[in-house]
Amino acid sequence: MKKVILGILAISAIGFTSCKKCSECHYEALDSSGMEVEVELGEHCGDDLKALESSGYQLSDGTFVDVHCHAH
Amino acid sequence: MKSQTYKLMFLALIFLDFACCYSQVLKGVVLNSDTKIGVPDAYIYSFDLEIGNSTNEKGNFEISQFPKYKSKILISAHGYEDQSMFISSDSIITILMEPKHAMLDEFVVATPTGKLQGENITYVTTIKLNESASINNNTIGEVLTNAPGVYVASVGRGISKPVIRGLSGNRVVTYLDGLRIENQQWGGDHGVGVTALGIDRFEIIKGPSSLLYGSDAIGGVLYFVEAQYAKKNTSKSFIETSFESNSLSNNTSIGKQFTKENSKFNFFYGSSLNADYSLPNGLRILDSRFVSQAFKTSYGYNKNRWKINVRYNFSKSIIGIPGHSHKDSIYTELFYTDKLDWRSTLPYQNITNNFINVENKFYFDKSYLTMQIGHTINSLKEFEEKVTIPGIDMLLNSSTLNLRYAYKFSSILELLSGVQGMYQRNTNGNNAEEILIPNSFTTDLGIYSILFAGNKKLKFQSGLRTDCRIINVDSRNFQKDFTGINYAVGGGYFTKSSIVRLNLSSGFRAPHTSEMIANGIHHGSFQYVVGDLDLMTENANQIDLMYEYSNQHLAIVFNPFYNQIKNFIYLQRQDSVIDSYPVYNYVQNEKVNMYGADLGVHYHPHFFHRLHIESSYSYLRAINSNNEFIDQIPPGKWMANIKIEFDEKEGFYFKNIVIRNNFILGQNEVAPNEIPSKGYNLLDFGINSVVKTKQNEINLNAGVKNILNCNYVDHLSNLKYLNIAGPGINYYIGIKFNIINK
Repeated sequence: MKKVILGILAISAIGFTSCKKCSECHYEALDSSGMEVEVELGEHCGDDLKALESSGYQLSDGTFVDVHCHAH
Repeated sequence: MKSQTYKLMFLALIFLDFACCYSQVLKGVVLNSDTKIGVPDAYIYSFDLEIGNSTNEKGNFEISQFPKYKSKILISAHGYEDQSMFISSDSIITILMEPKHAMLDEFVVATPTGKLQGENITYVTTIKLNESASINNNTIGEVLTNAPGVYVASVGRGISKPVIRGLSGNRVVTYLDGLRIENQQWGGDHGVGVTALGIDRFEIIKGPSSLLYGSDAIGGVLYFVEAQYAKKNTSKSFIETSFESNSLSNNTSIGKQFTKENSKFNFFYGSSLNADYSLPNGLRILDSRFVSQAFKTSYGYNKNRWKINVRYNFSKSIIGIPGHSHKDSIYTELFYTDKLDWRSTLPYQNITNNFINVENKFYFDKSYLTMQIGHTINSLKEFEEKVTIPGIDMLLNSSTLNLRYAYKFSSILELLSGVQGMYQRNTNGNNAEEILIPNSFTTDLGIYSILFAGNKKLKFQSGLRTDCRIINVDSRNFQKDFTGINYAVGGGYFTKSSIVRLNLSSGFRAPHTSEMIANGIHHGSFQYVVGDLDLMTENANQIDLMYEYSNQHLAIVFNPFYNQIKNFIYLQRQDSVIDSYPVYNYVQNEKVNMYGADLGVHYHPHFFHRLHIESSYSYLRAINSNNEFIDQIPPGKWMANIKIEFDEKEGFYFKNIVIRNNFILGQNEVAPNEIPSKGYNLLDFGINSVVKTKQNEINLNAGVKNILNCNYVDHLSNLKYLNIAGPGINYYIGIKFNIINK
C-alpha cells in the first residue's frame, strides 16, 4: 500500500516539474528592396530569453528592436 | 482575560465531549424478500456520514461509530432493487431486498440537502461519470456536452464552459464537494476549473439557485462530488489509460483508496496530452493542443458524532488558444495545419489551481452542524506574443466559509439555516503586459434559512436569504456594495408512479469586478473590454414545473420553465477599435425573458430486458426588452442513447454496447450582430467489456465518435465567426485495471 501511495506522489512530483524554457527567436526588418523579412536569432533559453523579450535585440547601430519568440 | 480563555476552553471541551459520545453500533441483516435467505455482499452506506459496510455470507452486517442521529442509509446489492431508509444506531434492522426486475434509475442523494433525488422538491439532474463513460469522454467539456439540458461554450477542445438554460460564466456557480470554485469564470475563454480526475458524479441544478448556493447562481449550479472512500478496512487501486485518434491524445490516471478503522484516504493522479485536433478533411486546427496534470487527495475520519474531511486538489494546464491571428486579412484556412504537434505554442493559457477544503460535521440527536472552510488559489497567465512575459497574469485567492445547521422538529418538519462568506483578492503580476482588472478585493456574506415540511406524498419548502457584496479596487480608491434578498418556494406531490414539482425561485448577481472596471485587451477572447461603474445588480425570478412518470419499464420527465432576468448585463460590440482589437462595452438591458422546456424518456421494454432506450430534447428561447434575441443562446438539442447490457460473469464478458446520437438543431434566433448556425448530427458508438477475476477487474472499452465524420460548427463555439469546425471522426480505446483488496 505504501509503495502505491509513494508511487503516486513520485509520479505527481515528476509530472509537475517543468523543464527549462527555450525558444527560437527572430526580429522583423526590411531588406534592401524594402520587403519585410524575419531575421533569425537562434535558440535562447532561461534568463537570456527573458532578457531578450523584455529589452529587445540591440542592432549594430545601438537601436533596440522587438523580438518574437516561439514557444516549444 | 485569562478567566475568559479558561471559560472558552471549558466550553470547547464540553462541546467536544458532547459531540464525541453516545455513538453505537448499527447491526442488521439483509434478506431476499421472496426466499428470506440472507443476501451476501450487499452494501449498506450512509451518504450523510460517508461510512458503510458489506454483509457477510449470511447477510449480516454491522457498522461501528454510527451516531444516534437518524441518518438515511442506502442498501444496494447486485440483482436487487436499491432501497433507502432512515435509521439510527439504537435499532437492529431487517432489510428485505426485492429481486431486480428492471431498474431505470438508481438512488442518488442530492447534495447539500442530503435528500434523495426522488424526494427532493427541487429537481436535480445527476450524471455519474462512470455512466457517461459508456462512450469515452476525454474532457470534462465532453461529459457536460452529453448531459441533457446542458451545453458547452468552447474554444477548441481544451476550453469548455458550462451553459445551463442559456447562461454561463459568472451566472453558473461551480462547487466541488461544498467548496465554491473561483477561477476567473467571467472570461469567455476561461474553462470550468475542475478536472474529471477522482470525480464520482456531478449534479446540475437548473435556474436561479441563490438560496443555497449564494449570489451569482442565477443560471444554475454545477455541483461536483468526489469519489467515495473504499469500504471499511479495505483498499482498492486502479490504473487507467486511454487513447484517441483524432488529436492523438492520451489520458492516464492512477488512484489508491483505502480505509483503516475510522480513517479514510483517497489519492489520485492524472495527466492528459492532446495534439491539435483534426477536421473531417484531415487537416488540423493550429494551437488547439493542450496538456494538463492533476493531483488530488482526501482524508476522512469519523468518530461517534463527529466527521471530518480534508480535501486538496492541484491541477496545472497549458491550453492553446486557437483562432488567433494579428494578420490584416483573416480567413479560415489561416488556422489550418497539416503538421502534428503537442508542444505548446503562442498564444496559450497557463493555469494552475490549488483547492483546499476542510469540512467538519457534528451530529446531535435531532440536528447536525456543518462547518466548512476552504481556500482556492487560481493562477491564470495568458501568453500572447512573448513566451516569458505574460499578456495577462492574474492570481485569484478566495477564502470561503460555510456554516450550516439543520434541525428536525419532527419527521415532517425540518429547518436548515446557514451562513456563507467569501473573501476574494485579485492580484496582477508585476510582469504582465496588460492589466485587464486592477488589483481588487471582494467580500461576500449571505445568511439563509429554509423550512422543509411534508409527508411521503406532499412536500413543501420555503426559504429566504439575504446577501451583501462589497467590491474594493486598490488603485482607484473605489468601493461599492450591493445587497440582495432572495426566496425559494416549492411544493411536490409524490406517488409511486408520478411526481409533480412546482418551484418559484429567485437569484441575484452583483456585477463582477471585470464588468465594472475592466479597461484593456483580453487576448483570449480577442476583445478590448470596457466596464461600467454604474452597472446595477441582476435579478432573476423563475417558475419551474416538473412532471415525472415512471414504472418498471418507462420513465418520462417533462420540465417547462420561465426565467425573467432584470438588468441583464452583456457585452455589446462597439464600432470602435483600439490597438487593432474591436471594442466591447459592458451594458445592461432592462429585462430578458427566457423560456423553454426539457423532455426526457427512458424506455426499457419488457420483452427485451437488456435494452435501454433514452432520449431527451431541450429547447430555449431568450428575448430582451427591445424584442431582440440574446447572444449565445443554445439551439434545440435532441439526444438519443441506445444501450444493450449483458450479464456479469467470471472471466471475460461484454458489459454493454452503446449507440449515441446527438442532433443539434440550427439556430436562427440570434442577436443583432451574431451569426446563425446550421444544425448537425453526431453519431457515436461504444463497446465496453470486462475481464473479472475473484479480486481484480479489467475494463476494456473501444469505440468511434462522430462516425459520419460530420463537418459542423457549434453555435456556442467561440470559433464560429472564423467558421472553424469541430473534430472529425475519432476512434478511441481504453483500459482500466482495478485491484480490490478486502
